[in-house]
Amino acid sequence: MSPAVDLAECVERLLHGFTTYDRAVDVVSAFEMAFTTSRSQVPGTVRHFERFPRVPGPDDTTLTPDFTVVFEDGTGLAGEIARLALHENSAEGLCRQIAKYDALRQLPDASGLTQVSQTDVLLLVPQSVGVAAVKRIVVDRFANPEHPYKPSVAPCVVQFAFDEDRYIFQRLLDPRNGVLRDGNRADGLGRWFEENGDFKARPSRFSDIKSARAFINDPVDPLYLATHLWAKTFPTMAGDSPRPVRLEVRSSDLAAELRERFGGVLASDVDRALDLLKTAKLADQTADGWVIAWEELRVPGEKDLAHALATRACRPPSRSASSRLEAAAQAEAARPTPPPSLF
Amino acid sequence: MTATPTSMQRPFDDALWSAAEQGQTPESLRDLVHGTFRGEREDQLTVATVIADGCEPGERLAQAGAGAVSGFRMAGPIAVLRVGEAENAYTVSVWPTAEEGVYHLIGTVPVTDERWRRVERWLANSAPRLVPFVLNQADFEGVGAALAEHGRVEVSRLTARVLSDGSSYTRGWAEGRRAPRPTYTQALGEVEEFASVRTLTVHVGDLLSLHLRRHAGATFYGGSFRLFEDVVLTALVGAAERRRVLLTGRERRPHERQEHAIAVQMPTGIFANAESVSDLLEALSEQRGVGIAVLHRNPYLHVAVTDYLDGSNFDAFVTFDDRVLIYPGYRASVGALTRLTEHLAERFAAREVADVQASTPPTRDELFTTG
Repeated sequence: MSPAVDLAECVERLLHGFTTYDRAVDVVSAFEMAFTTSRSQVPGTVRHFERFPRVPGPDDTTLTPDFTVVFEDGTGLAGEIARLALHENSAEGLCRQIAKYDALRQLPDASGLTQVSQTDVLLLVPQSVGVAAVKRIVVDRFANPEHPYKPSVAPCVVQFAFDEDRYIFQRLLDPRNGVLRDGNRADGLGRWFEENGDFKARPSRFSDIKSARAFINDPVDPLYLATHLWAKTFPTMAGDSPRPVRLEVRSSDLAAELRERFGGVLASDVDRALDLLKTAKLADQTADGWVIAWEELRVPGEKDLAHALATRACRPPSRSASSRLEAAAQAEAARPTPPPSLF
Repeated sequence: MTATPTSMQRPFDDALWSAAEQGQTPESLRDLVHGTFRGEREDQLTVATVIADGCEPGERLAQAGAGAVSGFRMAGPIAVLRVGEAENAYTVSVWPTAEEGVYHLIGTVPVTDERWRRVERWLANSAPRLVPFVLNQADFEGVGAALAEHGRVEVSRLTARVLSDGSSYTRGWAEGRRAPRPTYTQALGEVEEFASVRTLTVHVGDLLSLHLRRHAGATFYGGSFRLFEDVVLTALVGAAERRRVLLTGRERRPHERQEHAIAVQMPTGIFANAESVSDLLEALSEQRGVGIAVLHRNPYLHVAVTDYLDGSNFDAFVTFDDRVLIYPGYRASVGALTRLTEHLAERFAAREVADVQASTPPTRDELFTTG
């Protein structure tokens, strides 16, 4: 394989993770809109929507569904975006994961954790694997007496797609597919799917939510977070200081700031993103943390920062971030003192 | 220190520079014009209204034009730049207005002259601390309405941008006996279906002649400078102040929900196809020191926009075919926001830059049908 093909594949792989993560951010944002800001009766039934849930699971584990909802009637819901691969281990792992969600009797609310009488599991899958997900999760496992996956009720599998100018969320019609139990609530997504089969969400309905909470509860894709850091976080820190700007950060501090401002980011996410920037020769790891040489990134022929970062990470330049900072500092020191006044 | 120069070509420039050299403040712009304009064809005053973000605009402009600026003096609150040498020299002055942070750049060279284009380049290089802006359509129309209170407002020349392909459109009406020249409203109405007006040459009876520009500015050609100042410059200052207020203090704050966003409202359907979205991405990234990161594309667009000059950052969304919606980030200066919106407004013939609701949550019926 030629270096050019290697480079193209490497960039494509990084961008695929970026795009997949962004689509998941959209999906969670659409459900946050449906549950919290839509002009329906649903937001009135919701006591708390949690975009970044961390819930104690069995054996001292921590469970992290993509979002959870606690309703005013004391019931709950856990949403999970599933990336179902072809191999059987993928379905087995997913069943083990969502079985734990079904068993949850505590979910996050505004003050911590609260008791819930039941937790419905909403399994969100891309349209390309929607039918297969029902077959492999619900039919082959939940409905199979021989299989150990036996949650209290079947998960509700909903497929999503982007059609023209809106997302469509469609409950798979197989009678064995689970339902969302609305109980006596004034309205609910269970009723939406029962009445209409689907609901739709234009991006204009949730763009404010996506802008405010840029991440979801999954590990953040490294290129996605590196792009966010370079396009938003570092410039906010740098202001109009002379370029390149030397930024010294600790991943735990940076993660705390990102959680404060956007939610959901862990130090491990930041480390992975900074590691990508290190590969791209834009950051260096030190004994105390990280040093970043931040400035406008110019890659010939490439205007999009995400592509530019991916290209640099796949084909790094020779100079490290530290050497660029040192060169800039030397150039600054060598600059003659300007005259006191031009005129 | 430069030697006292030879007289400049325009008496206005001479008088202003002379006052500045002596540290005197001209009584007023009106007095200076009355005292120096002789009713000659060359007598014209070019004005560009700009927004300053925490800088001394005269100094900023002088730094940007350091290679050509041969002198810089303060005439009281007015910064005066002497550009060029000897009899070819001219002045560019920066006049504070009644509104803080709003200034007029004033010169006697024509707006189409290379000598003023040079000033515009300095202005571009002074961003984001010193920035021009584009008038909203309503502000532009408002000037005509205000002038109409003083006489019949006729248009002798109109330039516009054709919405379908961005090409230039020019129309002129000679003063003749066969038909009167169109009024301001008639001239705007003539092109509103297919083009966005950029400039108008306007005559208010025998009272006033001027050139009015969507890229906030005007040129006084002759007549009553009082009327020009009271109506046109006042309108430009009012529009600049509204824009400055609109774009000030918009940065995001932790735990604070952004109830509002900034919309650059374009002609209907302008982003209806993939090519126009490419044009938008090109436009966003073509400004000096501005970069983009495309988070989502096709068919809706979500772009992180970074102003590398001062660290401002924004989320820009295109979720309708006629609007760019901007959510400011945790650093968002008024200068950076002004130049971003100005550039988009100029490039895509925007109707207005406005404050809008941050989102439009759907009803249950909408969720079931259109989304």
